[in-house]
Amino acid sequence: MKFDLKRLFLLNNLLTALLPIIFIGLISIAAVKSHVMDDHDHNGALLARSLAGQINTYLREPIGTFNLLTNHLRGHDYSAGERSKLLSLLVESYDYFDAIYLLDGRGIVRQAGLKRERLEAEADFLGMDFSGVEACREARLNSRLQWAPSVSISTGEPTMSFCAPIGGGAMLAELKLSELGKIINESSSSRTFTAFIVDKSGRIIAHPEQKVVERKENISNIKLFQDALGGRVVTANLALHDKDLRGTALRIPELGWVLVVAQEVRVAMAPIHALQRILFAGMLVTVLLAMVLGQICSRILRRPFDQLTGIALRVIREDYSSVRSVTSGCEEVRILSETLGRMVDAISARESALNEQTEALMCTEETLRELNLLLEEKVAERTVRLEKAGEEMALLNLDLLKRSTALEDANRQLESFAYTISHDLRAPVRHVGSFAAMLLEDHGDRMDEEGLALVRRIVASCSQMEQLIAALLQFSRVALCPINKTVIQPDRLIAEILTELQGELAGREKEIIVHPLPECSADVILLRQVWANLLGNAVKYSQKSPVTRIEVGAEIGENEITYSVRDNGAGFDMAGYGRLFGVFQRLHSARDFEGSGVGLAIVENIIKRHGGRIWAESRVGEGAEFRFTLPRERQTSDEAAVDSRAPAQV
Amino acid sequence: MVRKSVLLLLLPLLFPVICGCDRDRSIKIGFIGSLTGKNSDLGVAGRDAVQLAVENVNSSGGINGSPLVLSVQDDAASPDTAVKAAERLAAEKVTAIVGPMGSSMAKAVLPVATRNRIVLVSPTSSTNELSGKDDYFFRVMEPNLLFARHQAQTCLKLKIRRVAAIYDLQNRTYTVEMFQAFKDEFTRRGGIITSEQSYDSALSPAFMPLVQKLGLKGADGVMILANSVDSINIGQQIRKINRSIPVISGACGIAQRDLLQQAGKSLENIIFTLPVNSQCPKQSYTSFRDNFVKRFNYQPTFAAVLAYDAAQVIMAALRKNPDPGRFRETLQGIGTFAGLQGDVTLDSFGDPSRQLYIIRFSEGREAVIEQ
Repeated sequence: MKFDLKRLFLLNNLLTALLPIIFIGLISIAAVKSHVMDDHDHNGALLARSLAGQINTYLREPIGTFNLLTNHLRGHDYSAGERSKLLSLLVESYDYFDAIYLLDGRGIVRQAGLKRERLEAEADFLGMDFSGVEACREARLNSRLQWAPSVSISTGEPTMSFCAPIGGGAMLAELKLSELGKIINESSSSRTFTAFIVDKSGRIIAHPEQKVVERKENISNIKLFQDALGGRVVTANLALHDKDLRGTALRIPELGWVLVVAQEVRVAMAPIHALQRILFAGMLVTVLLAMVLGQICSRILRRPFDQLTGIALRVIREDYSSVRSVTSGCEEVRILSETLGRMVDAISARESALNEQTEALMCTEETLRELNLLLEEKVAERTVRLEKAGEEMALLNLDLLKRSTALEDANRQLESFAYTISHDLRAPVRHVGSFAAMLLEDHGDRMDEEGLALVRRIVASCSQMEQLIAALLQFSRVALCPINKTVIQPDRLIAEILTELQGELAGREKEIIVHPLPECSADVILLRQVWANLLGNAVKYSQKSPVTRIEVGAEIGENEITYSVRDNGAGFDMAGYGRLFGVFQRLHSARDFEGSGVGLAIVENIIKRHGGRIWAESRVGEGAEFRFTLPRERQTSDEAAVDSRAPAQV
Repeated sequence: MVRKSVLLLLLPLLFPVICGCDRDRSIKIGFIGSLTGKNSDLGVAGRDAVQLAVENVNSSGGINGSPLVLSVQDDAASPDTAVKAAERLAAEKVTAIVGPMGSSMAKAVLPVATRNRIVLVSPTSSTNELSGKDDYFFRVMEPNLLFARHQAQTCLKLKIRRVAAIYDLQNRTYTVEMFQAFKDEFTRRGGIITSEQSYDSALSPAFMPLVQKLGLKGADGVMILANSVDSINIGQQIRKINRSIPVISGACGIAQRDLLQQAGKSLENIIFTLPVNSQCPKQSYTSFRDNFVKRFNYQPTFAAVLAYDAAQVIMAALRKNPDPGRFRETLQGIGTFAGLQGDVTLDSFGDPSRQLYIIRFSEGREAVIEQ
């Protein structure tokens, strides 16, 4: 829901001002309406009674005059001329008589008294037959004065006829009903009431407007008339001549007529309408006042808000200099203004700090940009260099590859040569040794001591040479034989090898620990050679230790398995480490520890051919530890194998 | 929301306006007749009959549910006043007008009706000038020519061969035209007009000198063509001179029956030619007559019967098609409608064909002596 202060004030003002006016106004109108209607009906009834009295009085006079004349004529024997003169005099003297006729016994006019303007038509009336006039018929029948409405034979207008018997004839007078209209008009005009007389048939016989009477209007269908005819004083609404009227009707008993006193509802309700107009005008003025007041109040209250809005807009435009506090009598606005001022100060301060930080950041950014450029230059330069180096390296690699290939070719040729040589040399050396042994055995007794010694040295040298050739042959075979990998449990190999070494270990105090070893993928013959050489070295070089201590273990790495063999033997000097894995390289004399100097070279060769590495650590007299790796191929089974087994002690 | 609230609060101010906006579904028809003066007999009776017809139809639910409203205008027997009355009714947007009752007024009003496309259905206008024309004028009483011929034949049947005639120069489209048509037919058939006397009712002349001037000697009967007041007044003068000579009157003479009754026996045997039979036994008529007497306390005259028929034919057309713009065509398509005393057929020019009756007024009552 969206609204502004102006509408809010307008709504507030309308609610507080209009609702009481509406409720009080409606109650007042209802009360006044009831009072006015009661008052109107009361006045109408009073007027009707008053008019009825006046009409009776009015009719009483012509009736009295008529009776007087009747009696007078009965008492005097006038001639026809005198009678006519008397009648004319009377009609002229009394305005309410239209005409007076003397009728004979058949109802024929014998003398007529007419108004002066109708005198020339006197001849028309003399001899006229009025025997059918209702009043005459009634008078003749009842032998007394009778009156009844009739129609003027001369004008055709409604009239009231009086007839009384005189002698054998009768006297007939026509009373002008228009006079009745004048009476009720005079009585009612000052009160804005309209009064009219209705005969018992419902025809209007007297009305302030003579035309209404002439039109012979009939209101017998109106309930007010019907009720009044029954003798009651009735007040009700009625519609007549296209007007809504509020009327009171009563029957005049002496005449049998109904007198209706009516007033236009519009007029009767004028005070109520005036009150309604006042109410509506009041509501309108209230609405206007509410709107004006709402406008003024909203302006008064909106001015500081507009100023505050202006301040906020200036703050948005970063114009802090022209920010001033807003003056207002409203405490809330003053507090809001002060708060806004403090907020502006805070924003200003923060913006200053922010600017400083921004400047610093910009400096840093500039420096970084410069450094970046420099870096880029260096990177470019180094990239060029790297590219050059790469190119050189590629050349070198190519060269290296060529050399390596050449070297490998040379190695293979050398290994092949070594194999060939050792194989080919083995038979002659064995022959020399065998012949020297046969010479010693068969012809030793014929040789002197020196000769014997020389032959013995030949036999010994041949034996040594044969061992060297065998070792060399073995080395060459290892290098040349193809690798056939299978999954191997090193524990079993180690157990077999240690069984084979039992002879050398015999009589020693020993402690051999084999930790659970993970399986690996390798050529079983070659790996057995590796373990045999390493364990053999451990047994050999720990022979002089009081207690032979050998520990075999393994570690599982991410990509490889590291096996180790540690002993507490003679160890070696790490200064000679570079020769440790060379062919026929020995770090101990043959006197101390016999051997061909090929074993570790074979081991290194085998490990390398399996894609692994081998290294060793040692101190002289403290033993040595050899560690070699093999690439992992069955990690899960390795781990499972290691975890499920306990270390074995031999 | 706020706007709605303001509107809600302003609603009381709009209440009188809202209340005044109820759509008026009523259908308005007009009436023009002479309600005042010597000629008011026809007009008053016609107005009362139309008023009764409107009250009856409204009490039974109106025209197809729409109430009928009657606006009454008095032409005071003056063509000029009649024109003004018609203009007032045109301004009130009436669909049709019953009237005028008098021929002169009908002739004067027709241009106004034509200009405003309002149909006139006259109960008693009988001028020949409005016969046989495709216009906005319709009527339920036959034209003068037929009446005159009928009266001429009647006179001859009653062995009245020599007729003295007196007629009013007011409403001459009825009186003069009727007399001329009568004269033509009567003389053609061998009758003789012994004398004729005209007068101007507007000057309220004395009638005895006129009757004396007319001269009754040598006449078998006297024809009076005047309004009802004058007709009875003249009739009284004639009776003073000759108590037995037949008096033949136009229809107007019987219009104000109370005047006839006032005249007692002096106007016995006055003869009328009427398009209505007051003794008609048809239930529709007797019912109307009873209702009329109950409502207005006097016997309906021929003018009342014809005015009621005129109102009925308008209502029949309105029931058929209430479109005011097509009312003339709808009325032309009605053809035959149920009148109070039998079916009445309107030709394409809106002229009726109905029976005429010869009435003799005797002992205060009407008696049909020939149909």
